[in-house]
Amino acid sequence: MRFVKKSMTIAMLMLIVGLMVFAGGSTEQTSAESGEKLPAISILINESPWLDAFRKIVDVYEKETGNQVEIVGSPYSALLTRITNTLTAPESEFDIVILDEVWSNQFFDGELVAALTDIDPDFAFDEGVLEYDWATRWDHELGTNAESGKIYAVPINGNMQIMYYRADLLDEAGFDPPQTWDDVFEIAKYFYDPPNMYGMVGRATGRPDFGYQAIIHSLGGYLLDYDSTQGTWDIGINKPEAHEALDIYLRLVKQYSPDDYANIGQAQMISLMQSGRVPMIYTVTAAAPNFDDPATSTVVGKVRATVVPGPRPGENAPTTGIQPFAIPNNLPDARKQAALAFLKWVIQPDVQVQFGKFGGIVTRQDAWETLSEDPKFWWAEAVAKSTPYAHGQIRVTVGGRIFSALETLLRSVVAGDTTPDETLRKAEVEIRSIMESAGYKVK
Amino acid sequence: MSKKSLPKITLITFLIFGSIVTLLPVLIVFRTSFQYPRDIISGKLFFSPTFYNYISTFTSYKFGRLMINSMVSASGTTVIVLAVASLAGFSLGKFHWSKWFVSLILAALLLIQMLPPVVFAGPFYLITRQLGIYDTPLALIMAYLVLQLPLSVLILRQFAMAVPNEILEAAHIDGASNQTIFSSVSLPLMMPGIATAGLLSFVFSWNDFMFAVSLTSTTRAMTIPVGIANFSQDFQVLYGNISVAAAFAAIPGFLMVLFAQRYVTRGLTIGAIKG
Amino acid sequence: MRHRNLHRWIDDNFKFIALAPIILVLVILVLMPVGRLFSTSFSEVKFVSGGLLFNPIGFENYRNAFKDAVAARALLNTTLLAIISVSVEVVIAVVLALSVGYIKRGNTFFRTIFIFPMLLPPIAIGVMWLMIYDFNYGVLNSVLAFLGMKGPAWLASNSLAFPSIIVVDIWHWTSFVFLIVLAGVETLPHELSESGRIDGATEFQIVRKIQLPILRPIIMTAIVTRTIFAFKVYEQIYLLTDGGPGNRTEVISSYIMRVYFNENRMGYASALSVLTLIFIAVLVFAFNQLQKRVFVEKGGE
Repeated sequence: MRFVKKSMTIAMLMLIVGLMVFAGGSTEQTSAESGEKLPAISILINESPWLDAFRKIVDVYEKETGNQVEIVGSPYSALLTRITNTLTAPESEFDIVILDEVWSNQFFDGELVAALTDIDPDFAFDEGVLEYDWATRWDHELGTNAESGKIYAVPINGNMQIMYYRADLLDEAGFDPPQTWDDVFEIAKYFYDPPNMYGMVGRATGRPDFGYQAIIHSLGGYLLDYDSTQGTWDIGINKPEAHEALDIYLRLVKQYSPDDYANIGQAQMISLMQSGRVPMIYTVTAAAPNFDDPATSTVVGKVRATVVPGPRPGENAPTTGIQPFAIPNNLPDARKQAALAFLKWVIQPDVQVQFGKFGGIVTRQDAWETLSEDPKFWWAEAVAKSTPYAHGQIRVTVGGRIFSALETLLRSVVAGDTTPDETLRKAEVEIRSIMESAGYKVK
Repeated sequence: MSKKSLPKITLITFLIFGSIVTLLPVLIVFRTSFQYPRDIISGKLFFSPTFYNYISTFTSYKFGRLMINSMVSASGTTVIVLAVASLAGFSLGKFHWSKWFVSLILAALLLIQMLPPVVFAGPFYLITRQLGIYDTPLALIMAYLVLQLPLSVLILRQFAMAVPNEILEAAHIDGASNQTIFSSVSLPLMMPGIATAGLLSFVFSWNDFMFAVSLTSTTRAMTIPVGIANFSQDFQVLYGNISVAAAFAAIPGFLMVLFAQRYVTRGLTIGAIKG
Repeated sequence: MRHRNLHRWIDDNFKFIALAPIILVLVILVLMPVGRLFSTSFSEVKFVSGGLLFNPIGFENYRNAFKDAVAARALLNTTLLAIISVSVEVVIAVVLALSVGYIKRGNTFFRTIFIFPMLLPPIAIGVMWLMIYDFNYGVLNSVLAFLGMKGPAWLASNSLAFPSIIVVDIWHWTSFVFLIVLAGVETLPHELSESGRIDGATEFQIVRKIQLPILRPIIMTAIVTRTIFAFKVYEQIYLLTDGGPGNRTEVISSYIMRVYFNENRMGYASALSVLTLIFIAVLVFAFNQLQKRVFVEKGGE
C-alpha cells in the first residue's frame, strides 16, 4: 500500500517538475521597437526535402539584416488545419504561412490573409517573378485569380511538373526524350519487362487529378473555364477532350505498370524511379534532388528532365503545384511589416539564385535560367522551358472540394468500378453541384 | 498425470507459435531500421546494415526531445486519469446510486468514446490558446484526459464491483472511514484493473497523433507521433526513419508493460490470501 | 479538532466526493465541444479573419450525408471490419489469456509479447505491414519470388485489399482485448476451478462452466470498447491503402477527416460525426440487448 502511495507521489513530483521545466505561455511576440531591427517573425511551412534549402536562405537573411526568423515545420497532412486554426484565431500564431495553390483561393477571397498592397501600397512584383497564371492574385469582382486582382501572396515554391527520364536507358535504346504522349507509350512498351522493369506509371491515388490535369490541358480541354464577359463558368470535364484525356490517363496508369498500380501515388512513383524500375515519370520539380541522393536512389546521375509531353510537340501543359507565402490578416501592423520585409527580400533575383543553389524550387524565370547553366541542376533547363506553358490548377475557392470529388471518381475508374463515360458524367454533375452551392454561376 | 502434462505441452507450443506471429512484423521493422533507404525500396532480401537512419532521426529531427515530451504528457495524463477514474469507479461500483443515474453517466462516458476525436480538435485549440497553455504538455494532458477517462472508469468500475463486499464490510465494522477503505483495502484489490487502465492510458496518449498535431507546433511540446508523421512526406515516405522512431516509441511502452506486470501478479497473490 | 471534522465530512460524503472529479471533467471539457458539435452540424461554417461564422442551415448537412455514397460505403466497410475483426480478436484473445493464465513459468514472457502490438504508434504499424505487403519490395513477395512464385498486389488488388487490412487490424488489436481479458483472468478465484477439478471435471468444462461466466462482464467491456475503437481506426489504413482501390478500404474516420481537413467543411463533418455516433450507439445498444438475452437463456451465472 505504501508502495502505491510512494510511487504515485513520486510520479506527481516528476510531473510537476516536468511541467515547470517545459511549460510556458505561448510565444510572446514583441511589438515593434523603434530602430532598424524588425520584430522577430515565425513562419509556418511544411516538412519537405526543400525545407533545408529554405532554412539556409533564412540564415542568410538573418545574417544580412539582423532580423530574427523562427521556422516552424508541420507535416503536410496537418498544414491546412493549422493554417485555418491560426487564421481564425483572435491573433495569428505565425507571421507568414505557406499556402497551397489548391486551397489558397478561399483565404484570398475571405481576406484571411492580407493584401500585400494594404501593408505597403507600393508593393508590386517585378517582371522576373513568375506568377503561374496569376495564382497569387485575386479579383473580388470577377471572383477568380486574374491580373486585375490584388496580390495576396508571394510564390516561394515554384513546383511545376516536368518529365523525368533515365537518360542512360533511353540513349542506349536510341530514344529521344519523349515529346508526345505517343512517344511515351512507345518507350514504355519497349522497356516493359515485368517484374524487373516497367514501362510507365501514373498517379492513381493521393490527388490523381494532378496527373490527369496535365493531359487534359495539353489536349486543349479544361476542368473549369471562366467567361469574364458573362461572369459564368463552363465545366469541361465531360467534353470530348476530357474523354480522350481519360483514355490516355488510364493507359498511363495501367498498361505498362506493376500490378499495384491502384495504390501508386506521388511517393510511390518517385521510389519506383529511384529503384530503377521505371524509365520515366512526370511529377513536380521538387522531386528532382531525390534522384541524386545516394542514400535513397540507385540511379544517381542517370536521370534527366524535359517538358511534360502533349498530343503534339509544342502543345504542352505542365500543371503547377505552387506554394506561396501569405501574411495573416489577424496580426498587428508591426508584425505584418516585418513579414513583408522578409517576403520582399526573398523574391530578389540574387537571393533566388542562392536559394536555388541550396536546393530550393525558385519562382523567378531569370533564376531558373541562371541555374540551368550549372549542370548540377539538370532539371533547371526543363523548368525554364516549361514556364511559358504552365497551367494553373484551379481558380475558384472550392478547389479542395472539387479535387476531393475527382479523387473519388478517378480512383473508382482506375479500379474498374465505373466506366470512363460514367465517371466523367458523374464528375460533371458533382462539380456543377459544388460550384452552384458555393454561389458560382455555371453555364 | 499424462492427462495434465499433455495439454501443457500443446499449450506452450501454441503460445510459442502465437509469439512468433506477433513478433515477426516487429522484427521486420527492426530490420528496416538498419537498411539504407535505397535498399528498402529495392526489395532485396539480403543487405548490408547501417546506422544511417538512426543518426538521421536523432540529429536532423530532434527525436530525443520528442521522446521527452511524449514521456511528460503521457505520464501526466496517466497519473491524473488513474486518480480520477479509480475514485469514480469505486463510487459508481460500490455505492448505491439510482439506476438511471448510473446509466446516464455510463452512457455519457461511452458517448465520449464514440465521438471521433476530430470533434474536440477545434474547441481545444481555442481553449488552450486562450488559457495560454498552447504548445505545452498541459494542453495535451487536458485533451488526453477526455480521451482516456471513459475507458478507465469503465474498467475500474468493473474491478471495483469485483471486490468482495464482505472485506469492505469487515473494514467498516473495524471503524475505518470510507476514504481509508478505498485507499487501503479496495485499491490493492483493484490493482490488475489499475495496471491495465494505466497502461492503456499511457499507451493511447503516447501514440496519439490528432491532438498532438493540433495543440502543439514546435519541439517544445511536440510528441513522437507528430515526428513520425513528418517522415511521411509528400515525395517520399522515409521508411527507415519511421522504423527507427517506431522502435524507440515502443521502448517506454515495453518498459511500462514490464513495470505493470508486477501489479497484475500482486492482485493474484492478494486474491489467494483472502478467505 | 478541525482535522477530524474534515476527515468525518469526507467519510460521510465520500460517495459524492469520489465522483466529483469526473463530473467536473465531463462538464468543463466535454459539454462545450459536444454542444458545439451539434450546433455546428446544423450550420455551414465560414472562415473569416480572426474567427468563424456559423450560418444555420437546418438539416441540409444531414440530407447531404444521406445522399453521400462514399460515406455510406465507408460506414459499411468500417462496420464489416469491426464485426469481423472483433469476433476473431475476442476468440484469440480469450484463448491466449486463459492459456497464459494457466502456465506458471514463462508467464511474464508471453504476456509481454502478446501485449506488444498495442504499444506501437498506428503509423508505425502501417509502415510495418507496408514492409510486408508491398508489391514491389515487401517481404512477403520477396520471399515468394525467392521460392519462384509471383506474389499478388496484397494492398492494391480489388479482392485482397480489404482482407489484408483485416489481418493488420487483428494483429494490432488482439493485444488490446488480450490485455483487458488477462486482467480478468488474473483475478479468477482459484478455489472454484480447483473444486471443479477435484470433482473430476475436464479442463474444457471448467473453462466453459466456471471461468467464462465469471469473465463475461470483462469480456463484454472489452468487446464494446474495442468495437467503438474500431470506428476510430484510420492511420494505418491511410498509410497502407489510402482507402483504395476505389473505395474498398475507406473507413468512416478517414472520410470524416478528409471532409474536415481537406475540404474544410466543418459543418458537414460535424453532421457525419453525429450520424456515426448515433450509428455506433445503436450498434452497441443492440449488441448489449442481444448478449443479455443469449446469456440469460443459457442459465446465466
